[in-house]
Amino acid sequence: MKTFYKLTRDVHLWLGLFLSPFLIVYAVSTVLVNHSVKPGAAAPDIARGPYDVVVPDEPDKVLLAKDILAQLGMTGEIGGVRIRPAEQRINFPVNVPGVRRQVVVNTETGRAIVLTKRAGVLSGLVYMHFAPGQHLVGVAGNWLGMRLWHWMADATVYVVLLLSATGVYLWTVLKAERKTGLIVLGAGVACFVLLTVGLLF
Amino acid sequence: MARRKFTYWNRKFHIYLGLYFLLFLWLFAISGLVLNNTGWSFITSKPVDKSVEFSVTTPADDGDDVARALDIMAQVGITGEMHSINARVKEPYDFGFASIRPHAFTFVLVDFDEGIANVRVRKRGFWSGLGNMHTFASMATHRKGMSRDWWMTKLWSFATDALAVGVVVMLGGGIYMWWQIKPKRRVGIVCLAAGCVSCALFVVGLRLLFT
Repeated sequence: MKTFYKLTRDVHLWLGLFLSPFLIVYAVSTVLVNHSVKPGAAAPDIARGPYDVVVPDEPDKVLLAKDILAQLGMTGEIGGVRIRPAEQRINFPVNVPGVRRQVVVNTETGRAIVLTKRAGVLSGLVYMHFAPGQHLVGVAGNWLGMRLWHWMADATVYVVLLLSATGVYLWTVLKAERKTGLIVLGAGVACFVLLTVGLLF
Repeated sequence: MARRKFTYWNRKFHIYLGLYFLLFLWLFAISGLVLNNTGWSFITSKPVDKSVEFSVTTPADDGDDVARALDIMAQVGITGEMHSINARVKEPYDFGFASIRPHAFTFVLVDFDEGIANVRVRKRGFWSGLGNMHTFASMATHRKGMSRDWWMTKLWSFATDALAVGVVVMLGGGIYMWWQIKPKRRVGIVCLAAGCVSCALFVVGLRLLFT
């Protein structure tokens, strides 16, 4: 029993320390998102190009954008690809946390320009908070960097669940904290239930 | 003496914050997982629509579409957050808007000439509702100029902020407690450094390496 307690305590400590920077990323970005703060929105879009590109005959939008990116010597997470035949234009965002780029290809002239916005670290945190997110199913995670982040985001959830479970166990062992702990836990549960009921019913 | 007192209360605070926010943390953690994995088969669900018509009176047109929508909502007995206003709607309707709650979207179309409001409630199931709990506070302000107009949304937004601040305080308290245990410092530094390096790789590393 004592060994299990010690092991749980160590797991709680080591995992908590490892995960703390990730939790800070989520906490800071939560406040930014919650208050509709768009860091770096005012940063200028710097245009580069035009560059010559060959638009491949590729029906898959992501593969098409990847081909164009390779020709431009760029890499990053491709967002929603828009193909506008009437305007003879293809455009798509290519994001790396903190830097937003938009590739605009004129399909008639075969020339592309790249608009780059260096939005900064806080903007990167917000981007990471939303990644991969519920939209762009089948598109999100097309770049290894963001695929790794997706795994990390999922792992963060699993570790948070483990941390809270081990935390609850460690609390139950402390007899002196049981009474007050139960009151606080009850208060938290009551607030949660009241809020949820208020939102849903 | 002051340090001992701080250590004593910091430990208690770490435990109490963790216990108070337990369900909130689980909700945001699990819903975050759901939002990041919308491809999971058990998450996807077909929407179920239910339409009802109500008689309504025309609210005063003082140019404030949100006030008009809120007036109609009160008349038909809908509560929730205003999601969007659609002043350009198909005939025979004159005005439309959508209101949200985590488990349901309500679309309202109003025909002022006939005094009828068509109310369509769309529900998508448990997992979708859970995902919407995660995004609910920010959904209310996702468009420029929008503000939270339902008191429950304001309360939920406050709870979200409180959780974020609570997590940071808990982490700070935890790190302080760890530092007090001298035999655990070395391994702890390795864990914290590993976390910092791997997190920094995403926060700044990707940008430095690939742009």
